[in-house]
Amino acid sequence: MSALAQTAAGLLDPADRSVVTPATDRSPLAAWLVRHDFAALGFASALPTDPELAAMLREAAVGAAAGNLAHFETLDRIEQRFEAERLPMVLLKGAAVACSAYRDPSLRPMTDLDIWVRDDDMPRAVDHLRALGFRQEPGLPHRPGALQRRSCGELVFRHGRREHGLVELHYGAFQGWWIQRAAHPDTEALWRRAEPMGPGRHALRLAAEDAILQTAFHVVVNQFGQAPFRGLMDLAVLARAHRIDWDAVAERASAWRLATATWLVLDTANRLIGLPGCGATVTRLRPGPARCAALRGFVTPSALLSGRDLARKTRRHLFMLALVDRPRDGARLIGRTLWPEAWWIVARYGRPVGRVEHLWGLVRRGEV
Amino acid sequence: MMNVVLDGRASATPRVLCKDLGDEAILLDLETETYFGLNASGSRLWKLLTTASTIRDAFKVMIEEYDVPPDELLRDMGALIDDLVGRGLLRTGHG
Repeated sequence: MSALAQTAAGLLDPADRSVVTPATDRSPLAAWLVRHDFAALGFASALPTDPELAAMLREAAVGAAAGNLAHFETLDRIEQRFEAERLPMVLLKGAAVACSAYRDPSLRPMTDLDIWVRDDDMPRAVDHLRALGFRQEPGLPHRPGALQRRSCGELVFRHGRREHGLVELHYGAFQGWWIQRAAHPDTEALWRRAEPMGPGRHALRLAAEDAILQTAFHVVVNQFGQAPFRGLMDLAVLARAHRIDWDAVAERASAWRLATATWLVLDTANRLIGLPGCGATVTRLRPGPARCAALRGFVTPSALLSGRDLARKTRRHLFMLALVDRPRDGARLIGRTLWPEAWWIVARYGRPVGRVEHLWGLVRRGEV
Repeated sequence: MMNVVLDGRASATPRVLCKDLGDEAILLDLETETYFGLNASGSRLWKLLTTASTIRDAFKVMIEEYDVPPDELLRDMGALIDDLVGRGLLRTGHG
């Protein structure tokens, strides 16, 4: 894993270019790499010294690289349009990390483009995507548009029938009700610190320290589901490709009340892949011994490596609760989940609904 | 060479994107979202064809770089060019 991160960041020592010892059976390794979206990275790592492994990964690697070509062509068109319309945009997650940290963006597979626009700009952004031929995908019934906006969620668009034409317009970089209730990221500071993607590019990307925090949050809010190794690898590559101010990461994580969540992801990535320079930050963010042991028991390296689903229903709620930094935020999270504000009820159901009815719905759907 | 004029010029069509992947390359057809893998020699030929002044110039470089009889190279080049033109990824014309 560390060798893959070194390859991705363009730092691999030529004397140590193999990702696998000659005695290792390559078939299960190749299957594991493909399953965890590392086909392109594994292919690039194996190509110079291990043609057998490279041959096993070739087809998946070519497919991933082709997919990225299509995604970046889509991004070019959106950037041109938004630039002409003076519409600021921050690229998040896959595309941003691929361009800013990986030595070759094709090494980092993507399933969509994640674009963050300011709340005031969202209607214009939607109009311009439609003008470019995108149509909005219907949202999930329990996540109507009004609720997505309040939770800093996203609107999903697809270009025609293109497989690689999926674009998500985000209301925020840190989305979902867990963070709205239990933490407090500084959105304005994220915009202020955002940096150009590169020469001639209209899109911005988060500052490296903010990208570390956003990536860690994304891994944790999905309970280490949805390709967790991709996120962990992103952190490892960011740590190698940028001069990370780890003190700033710790300060922001604490100030935003994301210390425990950030610790868990950085600690896991550090143990599995290695995050150069982050040791003191991991120590600084570590919660008390009991919570530390409980969370490490939930996210074990063996569970992650075997691809086990960590996010089963009850466990998921307990896990997310254990990540809350302050007890009173945990109490608010529980309280507002069961007994939400009046505006939340209207945004969720489209009409005023009694809170008892809402509560009954949660019980019925097994969300409590 | 089958339908290819050696003194003609080849160029990539606007619907195709090319990406190096080690020694190899992939061509992505943006209209159909299908992609084609090119091995090392195919990748080299694509680069030469899309940058050289004429197809003959590309042929001259290939014959220097690859240990293959001219007739065989000409036949293989022709087949690949025909295939790429047929798929709408490459166009040929007089330079």
